[in-house]
Amino acid sequence: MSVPEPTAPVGPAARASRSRVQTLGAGAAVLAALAVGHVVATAFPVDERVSAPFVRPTVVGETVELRYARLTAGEPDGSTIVRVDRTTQLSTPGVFLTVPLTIVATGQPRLLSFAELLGGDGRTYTVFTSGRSSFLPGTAQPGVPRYATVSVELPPEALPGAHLRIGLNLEDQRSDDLADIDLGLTQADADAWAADDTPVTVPPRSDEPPGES
Amino acid sequence: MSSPTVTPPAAGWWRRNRWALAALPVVLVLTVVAAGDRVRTLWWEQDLHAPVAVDAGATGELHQRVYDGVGGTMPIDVRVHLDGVGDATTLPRDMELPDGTRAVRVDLTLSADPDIVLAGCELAVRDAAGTRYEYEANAWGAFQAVVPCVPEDTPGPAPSLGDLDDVLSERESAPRPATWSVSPVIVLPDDAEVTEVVLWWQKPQYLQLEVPD
Repeated sequence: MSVPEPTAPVGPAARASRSRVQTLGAGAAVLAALAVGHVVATAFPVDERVSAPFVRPTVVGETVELRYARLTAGEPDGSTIVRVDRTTQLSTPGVFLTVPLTIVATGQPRLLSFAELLGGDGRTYTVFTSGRSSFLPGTAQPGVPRYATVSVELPPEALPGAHLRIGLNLEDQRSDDLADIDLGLTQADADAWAADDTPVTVPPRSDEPPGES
Repeated sequence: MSSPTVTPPAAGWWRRNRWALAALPVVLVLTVVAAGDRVRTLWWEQDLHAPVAVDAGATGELHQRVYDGVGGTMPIDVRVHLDGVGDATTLPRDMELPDGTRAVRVDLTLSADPDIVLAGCELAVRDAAGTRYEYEANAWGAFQAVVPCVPEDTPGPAPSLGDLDDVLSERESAPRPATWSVSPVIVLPDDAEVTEVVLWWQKPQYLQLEVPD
């Protein structure tokens, strides 16, 4: 009975074949690692969670501390007619919602410029300067309260359960604080405002409390 | 029948991969440098990060090349002395202070070559906590000088507007003196204690002038 020689010489062909098997194995391992990485990265919503804003919930009348300011929302009001800066008057088949805000900047002067309304109907109503909704608080000096009013045009069915969101950067809210204000609105508010033609007002931004300027 | 060949000992892993291993630190450094460019544009140049600290009573010098807006750079070479910071006894015309605020006057004496473009300078004061209160030219009902650190009547040369320079008429004003003083007014909360004055043309460099007791 012959026993294979443990130190049997290996021919060049056998060595080349083994090296090719190793190369293929390494390539397969790399592909497998990429596939596993892809599964891990896509199976969990990691991207969204990493870049999501830090949502700071609050309610009307309660001050919320943000990285860049302290923010307090006043009582919302609504009507089918809005008067902006005492000069412009707009009417709508829906409702104009107005929310007075008090902004106290912290650290350095801050220009809060982002506002959007998450409607109770599941839709998002954006607020942008060139539209019929507006939010223009200007740059606020730290420690000096700035009074500004948001106005949003929206259908009455979006009012019950609506949340107002306020942030610093108009273009990019990722990884920064974002106030989320539960406006506490009901169907009764929606019905009343949709039938109201007494104008709600959006006064110019001011460093004096509304009514005193 | 072939004669048995002597297999040379397989080269070690470290030896086989020596060039890749040598390149690895270089590649890692290049990766960090390439990704790090965003640190410069998105963070370093976005705020005041590089102070030139000046003790109370001393004269500070700022030498910086700033972007000129038409593809080149221009020099800022200026000497600044903080003469004092105190409550503004006379407010700028039409200025109305909101409740809970006060106005401070920043007295500065500056020197620079009359040909140096100094438009675009910004001024602020800071309290012990580092909160920054900025000079606002058009705020609280008043119009102060747009550029707080040059004489209003003789601001010196304006920055180039590129090809437009040929069709624009020369601004007619006397040359800026070699040394001049300014006293801009900054509005801040009543309880804010000013500990330093900061002056900058282009972030991140700035002059940080300690307020004399």
